Amino acid sequence: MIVSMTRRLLVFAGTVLAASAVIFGLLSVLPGDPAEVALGLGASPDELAAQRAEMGLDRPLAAQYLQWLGGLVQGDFGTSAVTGTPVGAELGSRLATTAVLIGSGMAVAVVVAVPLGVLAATHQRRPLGALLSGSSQVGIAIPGFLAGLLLITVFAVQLRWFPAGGWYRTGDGFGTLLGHLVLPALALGSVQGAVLARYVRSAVLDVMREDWMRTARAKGLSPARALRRHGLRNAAVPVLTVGGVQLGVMLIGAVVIERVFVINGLGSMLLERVATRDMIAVQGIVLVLVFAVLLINLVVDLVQTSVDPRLREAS
Amino acid sequence: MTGPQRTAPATAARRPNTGILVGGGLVALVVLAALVSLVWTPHDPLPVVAADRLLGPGDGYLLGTDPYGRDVLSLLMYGARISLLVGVVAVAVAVLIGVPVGVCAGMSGGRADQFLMRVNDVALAFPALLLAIVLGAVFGAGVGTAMIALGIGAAPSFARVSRSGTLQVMSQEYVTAARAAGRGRLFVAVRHVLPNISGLVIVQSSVAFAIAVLSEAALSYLGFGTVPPTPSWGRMLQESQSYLASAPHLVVWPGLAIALTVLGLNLFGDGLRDHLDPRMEAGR
Repeated sequence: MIVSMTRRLLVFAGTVLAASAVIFGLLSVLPGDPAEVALGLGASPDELAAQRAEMGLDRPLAAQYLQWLGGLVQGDFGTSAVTGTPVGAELGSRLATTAVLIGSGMAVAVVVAVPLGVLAATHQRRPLGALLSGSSQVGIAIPGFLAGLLLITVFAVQLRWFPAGGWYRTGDGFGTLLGHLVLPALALGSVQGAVLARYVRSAVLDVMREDWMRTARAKGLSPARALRRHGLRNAAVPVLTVGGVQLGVMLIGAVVIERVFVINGLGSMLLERVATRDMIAVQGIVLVLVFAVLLINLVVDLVQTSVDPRLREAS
Repeated sequence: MTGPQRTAPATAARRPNTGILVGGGLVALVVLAALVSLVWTPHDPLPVVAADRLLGPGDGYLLGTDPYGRDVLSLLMYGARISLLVGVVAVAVAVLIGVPVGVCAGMSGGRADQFLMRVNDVALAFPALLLAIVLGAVFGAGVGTAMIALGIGAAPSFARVSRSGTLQVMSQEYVTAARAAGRGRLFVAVRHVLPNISGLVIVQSSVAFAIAVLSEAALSYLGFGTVPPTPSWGRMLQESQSYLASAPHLVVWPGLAIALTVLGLNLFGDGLRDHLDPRMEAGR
């Protein structure tokens, strides 16, 4: 158990390191000189050379990478050449906003998916099951940002129940946060919920075919009780994996949703900094996003192993 | 998957199922719209007609006009072209990168396999949409960058699918027989592995195609897709956002086009999977 965990952590560290090298390499070879961005167009060649030396751009790429990596370990993401402010502080507050958004989205997805998937499985080959499966197929086909635009049209523009966009500011009450959160969380979560529901359905169907479920029924448990007592826990294992993958999908989906609802999260920061060609900041944001995806996968892996003892022996 | 084997007659299993028919029909409709748009659209989709801004359906425009006075139906037909182009190129790039990597890994085994799959895991950590935004920042936004980036982003999933398919084929006796008969690796790959994993790859292609259509829409919405004035469904949605109160139909039409295309591709892919492996039918 400890050996396999150590191995997973080492693989994780290696993957993160490789990903950071790819991100650094990709954004360093691009056309566009950060020193020029910092000084503006009117700078003389001498001024540019001095600025490049100050920013460490005259050193070999590998040395620059190691310096960047060394800073990262200490939580220093570097200083933006465009805004002149440290990247790390803004990353933190933006990430917090995005985390709230994704957390609520995931909650919506689970609330949608579990009942929908279980009912679709228990009512297989009946009209209700077909209807639920059909509606989750339609749900999957709707991109999150389209769901967002439709939600804004109905609930913000027509009914005026919720704001069409924006986020709460410090000092605003919890109600303001909730009001701003409802539509984006629904847009992000309902579509992912439709995807998740299909996996819940097929996991429950698989479980219902197991011999031990027949045994549970033979002991006199009703179908619903057998499912509650024995089935759902076992069906949760494959669903957990998909749920983890979806958390990563949502993180990227949030980039678009934040634009739709004008939310100052990590995604908006990425788009803003890409637009101003602030590559030091873009490097940091992309690294945080990729790191988060990898971390989610690791956690899912570890949780899955502890939930399902069979995987422990296999690894 | 331990259930009683379905013993349907072989002919019944070969008949296309509802998913293939309905999904294929929807996709065919989109392809038709794109093809017709090459030679004819109800109106010219590009020029701005200030006098005809934001007209409702009717009035000589079947689905109304957009904020620039352009015919929505013509824009939709033109947008179908962009969505299909991005989907086809992205899938082609993904297949060309992913399948050779997966087959190589599956056929070599051992350290080479482990190394390729580790690289694949690193690549999997870069979501296609993120890759497209970053590459758009590096090489300039546009449809070309978007479809290549989406293709590269989708390649690791093809590598995974091809590898597991290859492993299955390699354990078959006819492969052992071919190797024993002195057939080279390339012969085995082309003659035995590729034909046998083609079904898996086609199913994965329809999934990847659907994701590419969704991603292109999102990218165009964010301004990383088509460059104006080239219309696309995602760009139409972006332009509609300022008119949600006065002209909600501008969201509905491109939204419907995206949803029906993706629905068609997904139904087709699911149907094809069931068709190729009838035992899965009950499970999904």
